Amino acid sequence: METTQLLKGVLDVAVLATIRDDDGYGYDVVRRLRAAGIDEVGDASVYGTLRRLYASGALSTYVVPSDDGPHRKYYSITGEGRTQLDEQRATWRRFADTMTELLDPSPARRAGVRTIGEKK
Amino acid sequence: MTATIDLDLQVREFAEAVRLELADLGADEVDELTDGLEADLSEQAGDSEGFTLGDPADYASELRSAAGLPERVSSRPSISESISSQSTRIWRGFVGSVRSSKLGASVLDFLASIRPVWWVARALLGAFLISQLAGRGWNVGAFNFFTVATLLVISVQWGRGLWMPRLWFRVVRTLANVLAVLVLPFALIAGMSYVTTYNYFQTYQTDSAPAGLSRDGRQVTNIFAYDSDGNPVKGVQLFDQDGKALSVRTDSTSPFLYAGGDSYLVPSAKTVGGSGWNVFPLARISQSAVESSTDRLSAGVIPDAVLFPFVTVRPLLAAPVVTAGGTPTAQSTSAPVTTPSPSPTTAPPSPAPTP
Repeated sequence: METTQLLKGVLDVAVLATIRDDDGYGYDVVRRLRAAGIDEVGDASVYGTLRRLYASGALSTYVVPSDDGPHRKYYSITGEGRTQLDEQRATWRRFADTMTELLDPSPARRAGVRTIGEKK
Repeated sequence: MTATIDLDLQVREFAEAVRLELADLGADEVDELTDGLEADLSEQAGDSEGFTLGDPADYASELRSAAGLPERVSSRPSISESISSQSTRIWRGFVGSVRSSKLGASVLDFLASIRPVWWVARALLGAFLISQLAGRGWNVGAFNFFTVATLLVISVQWGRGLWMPRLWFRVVRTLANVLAVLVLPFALIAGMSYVTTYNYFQTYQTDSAPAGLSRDGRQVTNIFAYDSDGNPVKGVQLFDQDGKALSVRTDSTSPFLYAGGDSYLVPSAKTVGGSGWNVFPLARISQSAVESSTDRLSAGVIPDAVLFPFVTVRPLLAAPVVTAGGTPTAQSTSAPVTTPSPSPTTAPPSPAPTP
């Protein structure tokens, strides 16, 4: 299974997480993701994601001019972005637990899995 | 330094190409999507070794899909667009394969760093072509200066990836490059012939310092001497500062010296073997005395004496006049007393012997 395929679904929350505490510009975010161990993501994907999150109101931007080169566009998280991040974090946790259990079942938790199945 | 400039240029060109790929989205959207792209790419390039920019079309497509924007509307790509993207793809493939070897990479880097030379050459070649088409010479002039200046600015801006508002400008630039390459041999030939002419002219000038004797650039064919009393003197032997005979002869193989009109001068008969080219005044013969078949003097020709320009000239002063200050002054001796007769050596047709 390609990690890049998996990443597509979670790139939004990953990007939001990188600038939760600290504003960042495009390549800055790429660098933070790579530092966190996510190497497979293309920089254009990250820039596109930033742009989409901005369009949906999760991020705001400001431009910082540079004396010795092209200007930088910084992104910072908005209130709405934080809400999105919290929601998606919760979603991810549930999903990850479920997947972990599915792939590597432990006898103690089998009941829990069944519970989810029954709710559906 | 060069590498930095070159990288900046590459990044700018790449960003420009990405924007062109996104052009169907509208200017605002493109700006939103690619604002700060140059800064990001430059930093990324500085961060990782062996950084390559890749294909702008793929990059734009990734950017587009990540941003949740529709795929490019590719219903009707224009001919120039498809040619351009096709050739760009082939070119990138070629460059990629060359760059994969160490030698290829260093050659490419070298070529990339002298790219501005081509920008200038391209402008000069364009100006050369225009001057030829306009029927003007390739010389220093306002017209050529203006053409060169204009094309130079355009060429360099194009080289830097600027002044390319439309995609088809790239096609124009490619055509301009092809044209410049085609014009190059003609310009070189023209340049070579110009240099050759110039050298020939130089050589000619050097050689044209006249043989024999000259004064102010004009040939001296005969000399007339007057003694201190102002009377003409015949049979004067002259030598220069090195003690060499002051010969007026220009061609050592010819027994006579052409002096204009019908006149030929011959050396003094009172010397051995016609060596008297420094004995003045030289005597004159007419053209009829020259055997045209051999260019030699006909046998038994007796040269005529030439007419002195002045019968007499002002005599020298007996002794310098000493003034009270002690500075000796002499009155001018150069002004002749008598009326000069015109053209001493060529006229009159039948020379009268001097007294």
